[in-house]
Amino acid sequence: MEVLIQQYPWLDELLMGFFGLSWKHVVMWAVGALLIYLAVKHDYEPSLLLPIGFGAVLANIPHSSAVSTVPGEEGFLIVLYNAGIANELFPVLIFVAIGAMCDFTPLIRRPSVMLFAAAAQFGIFATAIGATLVGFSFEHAASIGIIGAADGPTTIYVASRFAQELLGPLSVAAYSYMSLVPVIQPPVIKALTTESERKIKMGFEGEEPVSQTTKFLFPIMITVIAGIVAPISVALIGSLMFGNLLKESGVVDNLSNAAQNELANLITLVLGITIGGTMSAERFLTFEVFLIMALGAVAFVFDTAGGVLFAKLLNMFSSTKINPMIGACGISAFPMSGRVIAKMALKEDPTNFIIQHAIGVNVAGQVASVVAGGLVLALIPALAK
Amino acid sequence: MTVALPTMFAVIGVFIVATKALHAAFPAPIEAEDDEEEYEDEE
Repeated sequence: MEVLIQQYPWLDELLMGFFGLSWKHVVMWAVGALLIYLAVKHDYEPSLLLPIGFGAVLANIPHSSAVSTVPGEEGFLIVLYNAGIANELFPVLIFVAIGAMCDFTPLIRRPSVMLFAAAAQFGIFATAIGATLVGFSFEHAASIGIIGAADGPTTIYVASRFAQELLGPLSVAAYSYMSLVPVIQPPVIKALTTESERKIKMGFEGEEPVSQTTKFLFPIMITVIAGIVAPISVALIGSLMFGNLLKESGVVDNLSNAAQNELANLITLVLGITIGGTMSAERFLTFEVFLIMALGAVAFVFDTAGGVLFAKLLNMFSSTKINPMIGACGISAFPMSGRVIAKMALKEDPTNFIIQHAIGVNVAGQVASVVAGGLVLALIPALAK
Repeated sequence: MTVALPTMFAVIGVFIVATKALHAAFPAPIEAEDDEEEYEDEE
């Protein structure tokens, strides 16, 4: 073959894809294909897993021009990475879109639901400790813990600051577990609650309607408070609340609609394929990544358990009983978690409609996961010293 | 965790108090009752 190449130098150029191919590339194609399969066949977060899966294929073709790092000839996935992830732009823009989609009315009507959301962030911190115990650095451990919040953009935001080299597996883990809410949460909830607890009905005593002025002022208020407590979280919480302000102001429907549709779709598209582009075989096929996927699942289970157990704890001291299942909605997977828990309640008792309460906690989970991300950003540099 | 989780609850506690205050400061107008009164006046 070497003689042939010496005789015909252009053959080297033509066959370098074959020569560069290894079993690791083929395994990564299989990983990409699995993500595409889950997206297409099982509808698991298809708008993210499909681009991530294809991005993984693009990144694992030997000498792929899509991920070329040759100066002046950078691949489009590298350009997108530098333009939107290395500088944290894409997750922030996604938050603007999510904010425009959120309706915080149930949360404003019953602010105490934020306590469940806070409790449901337990897994983040518990997993971070576990990750440090198995050898991860403090920064990497915190980034792994964030997976438990089931909040993809926050995971990407924190990882792009503290664990850029783990961005691919962290994002895949976050979005995979988000899509697996209907599979992961019900057994955890059932293991921690009795049948009679799951049948508890909840009323709406003392809940008053929310004025438009309150809805309008809420995002501004939350941004200012969070900003004062942890200035580093302003980009995260501020973009989420900016999107919500667009919606609640009622005067920029065109911008609100653009954020909810065009912006959300466009950024989701480039975000997914760019993350896939970071999943090179050298980075992905390691024991460290296997540990990340395992710890991510632990974080997710702990977050669900944290919310449920906190609700059970409150029930011990309160005369008005809460259905402990709604505690599990304190994660950020919105509105999937709320719907799954509402369905579980209906399955236990067809006359038990807890969807409004579940969605209220789920919306609070959006805020709490961003606050948790902000706290991680604020506390890690200080605690790592 | 001994620092982060209590901080998390403290921040959320501030959010709850502030949200309750905001909700109380700007109550929703009771439209249904107003409509009823107008209807009765017309009668």
